Amino acid sequence: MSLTVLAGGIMIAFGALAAGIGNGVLFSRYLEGIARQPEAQGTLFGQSMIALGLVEALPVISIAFGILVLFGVIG
Amino acid sequence: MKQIMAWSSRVILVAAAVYAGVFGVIWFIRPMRALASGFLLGGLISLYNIFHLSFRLRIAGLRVLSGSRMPAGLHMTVRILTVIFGTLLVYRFPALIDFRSFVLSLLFGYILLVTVMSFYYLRKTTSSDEGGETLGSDSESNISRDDV
Repeated sequence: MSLTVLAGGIMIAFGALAAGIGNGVLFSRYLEGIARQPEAQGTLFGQSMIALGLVEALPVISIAFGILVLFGVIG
Repeated sequence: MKQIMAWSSRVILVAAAVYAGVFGVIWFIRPMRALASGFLLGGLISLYNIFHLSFRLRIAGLRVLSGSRMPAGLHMTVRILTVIFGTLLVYRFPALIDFRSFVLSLLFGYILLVTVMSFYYLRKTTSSDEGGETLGSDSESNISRDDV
């Protein structure tokens, strides 16, 4: 097995894993916050969007790079 | 909630239109066509992703508020598949779409989202210092900082 394929696989797997955990934690806190204090939904929504945007940007890039590495476009 | 949604959607749509317009014009310049189509494809996928994220987050919040027991997720698989679709297009048509510009522009929507939302809260906090509305004032809450 070529090391390039391994690198691509690691990029995709760890990117998706980390984003899944991060999104899960954030999303659960958001829902918990709304359930506890429904009137704070507006504030929670905006702040969750900022955090989710920051969390999701990395795996999106790593997945795109990983696939390009797997297909041999890069590397 | 409605206030922040309307304001941020409007700003993001205007920024997206400017972005698409700029790279649409660049696309007509022959030697930079691949570069511009990479930026256009990546930017559009990224914008779709942030609107989808916002939509799913709002739906989940509304379901919790309505007391529904139906599970609501963020549908992250859909967003990842969108990125994979774009990447496969880049792989299939390497002469038409530049992969470097595509990967770079995947960040466009997220950077725009974080900037716009941060600016919204910064503006709101600043206006509250001058006696304007405070954070969370678009809700019905009467709780003040002294009560906490």
